[in-house]
Amino acid sequence: MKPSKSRQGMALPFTIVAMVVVIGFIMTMSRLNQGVKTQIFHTNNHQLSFLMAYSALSRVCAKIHAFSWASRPFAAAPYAENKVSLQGGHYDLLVENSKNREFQADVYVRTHLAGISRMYFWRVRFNDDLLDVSNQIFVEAFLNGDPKDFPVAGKANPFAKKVEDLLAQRAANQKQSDLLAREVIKLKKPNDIIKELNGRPIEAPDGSFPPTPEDLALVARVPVPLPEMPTLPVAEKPDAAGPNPARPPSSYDSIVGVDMNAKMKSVLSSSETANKLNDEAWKKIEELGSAGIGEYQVLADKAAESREAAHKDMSDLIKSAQTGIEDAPSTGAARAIEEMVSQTVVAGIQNLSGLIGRTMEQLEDNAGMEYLDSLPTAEHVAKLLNDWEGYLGHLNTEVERLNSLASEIGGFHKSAEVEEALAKALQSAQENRDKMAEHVEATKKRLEELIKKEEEEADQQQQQEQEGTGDGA
Amino acid sequence: MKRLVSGTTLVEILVVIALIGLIGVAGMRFFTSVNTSQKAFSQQAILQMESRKAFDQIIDQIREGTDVIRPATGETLHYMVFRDLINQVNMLYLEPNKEESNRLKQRVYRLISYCNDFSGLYKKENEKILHNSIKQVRFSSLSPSSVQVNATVVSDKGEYQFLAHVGLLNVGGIE
Repeated sequence: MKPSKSRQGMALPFTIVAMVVVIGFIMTMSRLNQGVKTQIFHTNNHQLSFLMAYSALSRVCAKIHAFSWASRPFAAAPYAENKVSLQGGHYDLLVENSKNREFQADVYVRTHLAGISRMYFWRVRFNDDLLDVSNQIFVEAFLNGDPKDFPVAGKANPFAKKVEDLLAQRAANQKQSDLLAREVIKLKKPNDIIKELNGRPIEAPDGSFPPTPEDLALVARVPVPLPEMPTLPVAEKPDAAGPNPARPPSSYDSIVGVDMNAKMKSVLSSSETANKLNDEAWKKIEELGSAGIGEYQVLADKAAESREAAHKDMSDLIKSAQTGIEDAPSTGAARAIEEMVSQTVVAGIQNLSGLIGRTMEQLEDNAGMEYLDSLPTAEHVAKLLNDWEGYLGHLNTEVERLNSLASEIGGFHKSAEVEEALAKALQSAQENRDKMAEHVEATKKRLEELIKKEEEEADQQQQQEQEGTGDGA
Repeated sequence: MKRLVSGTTLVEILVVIALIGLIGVAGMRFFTSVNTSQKAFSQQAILQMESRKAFDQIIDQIREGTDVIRPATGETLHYMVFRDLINQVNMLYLEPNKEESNRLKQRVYRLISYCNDFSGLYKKENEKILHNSIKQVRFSSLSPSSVQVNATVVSDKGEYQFLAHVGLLNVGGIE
């Protein structure tokens, strides 16, 4: 015990010294490494920011290609995105149509990376050249801007004014610039070129050092060897994870345009469903008679919902098409949209007209004039009249809506077959409405007859009762 | 007797002091050496950073250009002439820098940008020094709207070579 006690005085100083050395080493190394890492990161910041902005521009261009110019995501209103994460930073995006310029868009991207914000601006022009679909978007203007100039949708945008001024200046300088470029291209020596550009003559090298290729190039045009670069010892790779192609962030697909195909599919789907459900509903009555009323009602309600959806889809489609036609890059493109949309709307009208026809067919087969004649009392006929008047009212509205849709696509280009189909569908709907009106008139007449007959019978009965009472008296 | 056992001898104290001294000296030397190499590394990083800053300016300037006038496509030159966003003709070229050459004991150049504003006069404000100690620069034109820039920057801490492929983005005027 005694010897160990005597060594207690040495352990503590050793431990403290060792701890100080280790902590000091770790702190120094981490501080120095952090300093170098920060310097390298700031060095890369500029390039990474530009690449982030260029990625955003590429997304916009890809969406214009994917949806067509007419259905571009910013056709009706500016498109904006905020804080889209990318490569360890994030960016804000705003795309809008260039004011008073056809087929041009302004793309603003503000990047934020490691506390540094930058703004980039592109004005792109869409060229609808079907012979070269890979070359449809041109950059009219590219500028680095102040992040503070990033515009807010719907508010005044001074940056756009600056761009307009610069482009006006570019146009004004075009002729002089072309002439000067033609002169410069003929010259061989840098000093001759700088003289042509009204610059200060380049100082000649003194004789202190052996002449270099750069020295020689100042006085005469000499062949220039291609530069040689040593291979990098370690591959330089960014440390940010980057996008995962297997699972792209949702924001990647957040730019959406007007999907005309989806709208057209929706019109066909809802109108066909309405027709099919209406047919199934009547089949239940045909199969089960009055026992199928419950199932009929469920199916008929669903058919009515689909019919309303079809009307809404057709209105939406026509509205979108009108915007697309106004913005179409050529008369050919406008005509193609018109034909596509009118064909779809006519198919929808045909389906809804077919629905009316199926209902009228059922009515005539099972509850038509024969049924009316079979009703014995005015009360029964009055009930039937009430139902038929309600249906006639519905038919009046429905035929009016179909005619309204037809007039909305009246100015659209249509093929002869589509014109014919539309005329037939509208005529069929109108004929069925007229038939229903005739039924209602016939029912009214029948009701009047029955009422008259019942009144006469009542009078006769009353007379007989009075006569009977008189005889008795 | 008890006091003698619990205390430390003079020899023990001397040994501890000597060991601490040795560790301290070794530690100090180690820190000095780490610090020196780290400083050199840091200066290299600063050189790279400053060079990159200067070249970022050059890239920004070229990017906002519309088309390359010289070098012609496929040609490599020590200078470059191009048109900027507003169609002014710009030239990037080298000029010997005597002061820096004498200091660094080798020929170095200034990289200068000059812009013609069609006034017909030399204007000092149209001339910008982009870098003060360039050893060599090459501009290779790969198409009318792109150029490869290769430059070697020199400082008293060494050389740094820079390569960039820059696309001129304002190509709307050229179809």
